[in-house]
Amino acid sequence: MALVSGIVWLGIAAAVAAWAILARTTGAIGERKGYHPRAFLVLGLLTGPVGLIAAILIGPAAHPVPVRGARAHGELLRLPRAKLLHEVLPRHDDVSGPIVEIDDIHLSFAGVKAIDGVTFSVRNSEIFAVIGPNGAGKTSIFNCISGVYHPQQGAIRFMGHDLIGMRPDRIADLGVARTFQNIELFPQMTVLDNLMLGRHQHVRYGTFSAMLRAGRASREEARNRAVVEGIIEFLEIQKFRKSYVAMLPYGIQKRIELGRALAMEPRLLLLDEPVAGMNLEETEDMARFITDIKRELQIGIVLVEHDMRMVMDLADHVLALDFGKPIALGLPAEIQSNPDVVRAYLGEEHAIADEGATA
Amino acid sequence: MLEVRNLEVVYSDVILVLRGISLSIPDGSIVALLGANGAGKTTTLRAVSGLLDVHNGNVTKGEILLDGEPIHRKSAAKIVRLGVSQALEGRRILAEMSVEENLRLGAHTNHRSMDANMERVYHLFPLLRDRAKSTAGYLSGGEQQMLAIGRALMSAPRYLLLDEPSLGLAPLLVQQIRDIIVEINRQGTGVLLVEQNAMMALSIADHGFIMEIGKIVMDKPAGELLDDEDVREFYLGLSGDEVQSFAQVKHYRRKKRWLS
Amino acid sequence: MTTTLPRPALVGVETPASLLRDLAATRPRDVALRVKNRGIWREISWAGYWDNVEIFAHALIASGIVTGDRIAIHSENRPEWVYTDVGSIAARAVCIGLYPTNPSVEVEYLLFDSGARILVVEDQEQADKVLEIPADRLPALETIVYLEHRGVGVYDDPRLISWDELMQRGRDHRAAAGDAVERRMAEATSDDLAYLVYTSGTTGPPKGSMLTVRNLDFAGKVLRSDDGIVSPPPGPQDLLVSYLPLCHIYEKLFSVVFSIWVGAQIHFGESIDTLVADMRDVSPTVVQGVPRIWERIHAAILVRLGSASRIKKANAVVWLRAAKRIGATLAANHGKHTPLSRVLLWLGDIFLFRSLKERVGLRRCRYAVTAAAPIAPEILQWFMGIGVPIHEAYGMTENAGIATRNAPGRITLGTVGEAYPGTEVVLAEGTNEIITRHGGNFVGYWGQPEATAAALDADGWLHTGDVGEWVDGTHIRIIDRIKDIIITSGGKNISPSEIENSLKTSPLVKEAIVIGDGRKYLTALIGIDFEIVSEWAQRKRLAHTTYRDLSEKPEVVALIQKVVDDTNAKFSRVEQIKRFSLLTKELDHEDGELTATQKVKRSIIDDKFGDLIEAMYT
Repeated sequence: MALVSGIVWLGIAAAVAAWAILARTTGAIGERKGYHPRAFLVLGLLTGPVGLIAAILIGPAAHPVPVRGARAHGELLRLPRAKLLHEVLPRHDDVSGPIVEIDDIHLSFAGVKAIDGVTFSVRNSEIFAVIGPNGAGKTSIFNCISGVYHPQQGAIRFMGHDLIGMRPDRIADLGVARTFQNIELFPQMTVLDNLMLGRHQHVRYGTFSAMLRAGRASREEARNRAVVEGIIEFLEIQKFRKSYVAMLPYGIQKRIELGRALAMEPRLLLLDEPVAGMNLEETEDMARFITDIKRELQIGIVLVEHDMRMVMDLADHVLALDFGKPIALGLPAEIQSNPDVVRAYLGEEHAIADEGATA
Repeated sequence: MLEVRNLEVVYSDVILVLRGISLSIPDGSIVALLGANGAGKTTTLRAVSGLLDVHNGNVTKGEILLDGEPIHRKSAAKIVRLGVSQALEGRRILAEMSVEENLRLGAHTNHRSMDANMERVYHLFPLLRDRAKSTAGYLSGGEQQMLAIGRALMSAPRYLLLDEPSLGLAPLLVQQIRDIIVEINRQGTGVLLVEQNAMMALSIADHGFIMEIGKIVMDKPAGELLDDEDVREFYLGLSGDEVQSFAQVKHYRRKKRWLS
Repeated sequence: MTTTLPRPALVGVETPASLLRDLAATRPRDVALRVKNRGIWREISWAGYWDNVEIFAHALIASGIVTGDRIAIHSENRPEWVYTDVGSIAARAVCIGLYPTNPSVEVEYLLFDSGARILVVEDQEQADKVLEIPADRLPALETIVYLEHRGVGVYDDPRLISWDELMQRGRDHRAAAGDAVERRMAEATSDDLAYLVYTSGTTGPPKGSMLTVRNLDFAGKVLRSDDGIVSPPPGPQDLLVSYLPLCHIYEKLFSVVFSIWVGAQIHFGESIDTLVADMRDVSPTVVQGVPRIWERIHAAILVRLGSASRIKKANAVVWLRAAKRIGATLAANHGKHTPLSRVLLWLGDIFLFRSLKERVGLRRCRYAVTAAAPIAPEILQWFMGIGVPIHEAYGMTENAGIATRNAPGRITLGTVGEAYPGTEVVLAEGTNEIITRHGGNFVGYWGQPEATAAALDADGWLHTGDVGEWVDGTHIRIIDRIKDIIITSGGKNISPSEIENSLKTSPLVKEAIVIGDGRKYLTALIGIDFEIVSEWAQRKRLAHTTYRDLSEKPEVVALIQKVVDDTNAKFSRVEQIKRFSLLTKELDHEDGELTATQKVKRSIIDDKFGDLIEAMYT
């Protein structure tokens, strides 16, 4: 039976291949009638195997039926669907004191002072902005908190840990995540993979125990995926889930970078110029996500940003730096009208323009 | 007059980035090109300055005319010699070289009047004169941006193309850069200004073009754009006369119309 | 109903709610709905579906909703939509759907006109539209229920409560007064209003068509009958994706009526942005679409093939030619195969069609339907050629969407098919207006007795307002809306849509509006298709920027003149378009020029482009 169907199949494939070739050579089937019927047969016999292979290659094999309607872990999941991120990520309303305290830190490179006596603290659900001219030491503060630089003086306390001298990966494990001025994602990987990778910096099992207890590892993987899917929903990037990062617009890449940081379940999020190079719409999106993170996740956020509208609208407190030195610390409105800040950073025009706008 | 007509650009033979855009920069005017990231603004600049091939891009349709002469098949160096010069995005200066060496490099197509041009640049950017011997890599972001513009001016171009000169700069520096662009223009150079900071760009431009997904969707004198309801809402963040607060951003977007 | 059911016997009639309750009793664990949430298709069984509906109904009763009260919902398609829909019917309330694209002014009109007491909004966007309206202008509206917390949670309007809170209210009520919903359902009658379906009229404000439980029951039974839409008749194994606006009778017919009367499975995708991926995931067996959707799928497939590798392209060229031949054969044979076309289709499937269909989720489609607007027969033929069994059907809100359909094997392209069994669909004497009489005929327009009297005559005939003609004595071809028929000052009757459709067969033309009522000659307003005309202009090296700029180019006007000339060649002397103008903006729903279903609102066009029109007559 198999043999018969094989022969029939071969014959059909041959005829089809012949037809295909004829169509190619004669322009189109039916348009030119001048071809010789015998050529049809000869070609058919000669090209039969080719046709068969082609049929296999181009045909159904190349397009497997997608998995559909997959049951979620075999259980019936009920609606209404959860939307808030804190249902996936833990929400931290337990901490009342500051999450991070920066206490009089000093940092210098070869005698050049990069940070000169900076002190501030950030609480849960607080957006703390650091502003200042280019090269004033803002990014250096991030690097101190995340363990890339080690300040020569002062202390950084994070949830009861002293961070100075600690390795960056350890600090990340404790719950400090950051985004970068330049996007640091894997461009040749999908959005999903990039986010999953963000999770893997947050592994709860060692290689050895993973070998012994594969079950736990796969449970962990399922949870990782659940968290990542929660982030995808939160950041509204469902339609980019399987897209390669390199192919996505800049604004979306920045959003994914934020997602990667969130995937680490941080208690403190350091955002380094999250809206640089973005247009207003993209900036609005980012502002909304930052506000939602603050509202729904209740984590501390340190924001370095030159977009003054963003800083003034979102920040709870603002620290202004110049040449590594704090020149003002206070509420956004106070900072905006502070003469030192205006002189060193905002410029007269900006201060006036904003007063005009708010008047 | 520098003119772009129906320009279509494809990267790597497959990715269509510009779908037939047309714009013109009259002599001595400032023209702003606004639009979201990925709309094709940088590609437009690259096409004009002849840098597409570096990025594996190709002009597949349309043309770029300088005083009626097509230039889109010419090399980047030739285009600079013809008087069109671009200050590169991301402040691509040579970090190991000094400020002055960087500027000299910008003059490689125009050696004869190098000193005069250098003097003009130092006049526009006194700060660069102070730092002439410093290594460019140690300049702050704002200074690097000035150097990038200065270098483009070393060829004494008739048209200067600027790609987001305010990117990542402190507010004070944005104001300075803006004033310098106005000054450069006042001295007779036409400017094509690509900017995310729409307020800054439109405040000094004569004419504005708005791009979306590879197309020009709006094209008006800058003053009219500043008054356009959609532009105010989507590029300037104003509703009516009020500044919209980022803290009150809605969780949805109003549909843009770009009726023109 | 028999007393052997494990629940109290239903006294009363079959409503969507009672049928759903019975399905929950007989097939509790079978899948009723699937919704893609966080990357996974989550299943909702018939028991789960009914549970939500029952709780929602309890919540309504707990909120003081009495028989005949109106409940509105303003949301994209999602399970809560159908809970609201069927739950309202369970509480003998009336459900009203709003288009997600309805702007605030229309929201105000619809809520005010219907007097809805409860409104369910999806998210901040829809909430803002209603909150923008001063509360005293909507005196009946007591409660606004929001589905998405984000952005709305911080609002302090006292009318706002969350879906979860509302459902908790329902659960509490069920615990305290267990059979309140059951009792209310038992009182239901066939004459209970189920829906007010607002039809976005192309003239005047929308009217609310009152559809009763009887109408739904009729429609449900027609759709599932042996000689209804598909053979073998639909059943529980059928899969559908819910994506057209659920406030429109067309999607309601499938996502609610079809689903419940047949027991089929309805799928709600992740978002409108992911429709294609969702379709691919589900690969539905029954696909309901409007011409725009079919045209888009058709174009998307061709574009995709255009960028394929050379071998694949060659393969596609050959097989698309075969598809054309298959389509032509099917069209000529009323949708029936000849042995040759069957073999061709089988081979084509292996080489090309299967993968094409796979990509757009039509691989397992055993019945596809297009309705709601005229479609070019070429498109239907193309889909038939690649093995998508597509059928054109016709119905309107006022007859519960039931009038005619092309049944499998009895297709006549260019017609909307034959009347369903058990219905009367005829052409009125003299006017040739299509009139229908059957159990799906609505009972009138909400609060508009004159309009009702104009639509429903004393003998129970519904006047559809469409003029038709018989084809082969069995099928109906639609000519135009009666009120759109132009009577020139010379007294000639002209069907503008025939001319408009002819103009629109040119890909250059996106919108065409023929004018001439009471005038000496015909003129047309034409909107170009920006994409395609722009492409043409590029080839001609014609510099252009915006839509307006392009439309104003004399070269473009000349180009469209050729299209007009071609159309004129097809029509009689009185039907000639003497002059035309190009629209300088793209028509849009938000700007009021199109209805929510993208139909041109003539009255608005007359107002907005009056100068343009007058200029063509001076």
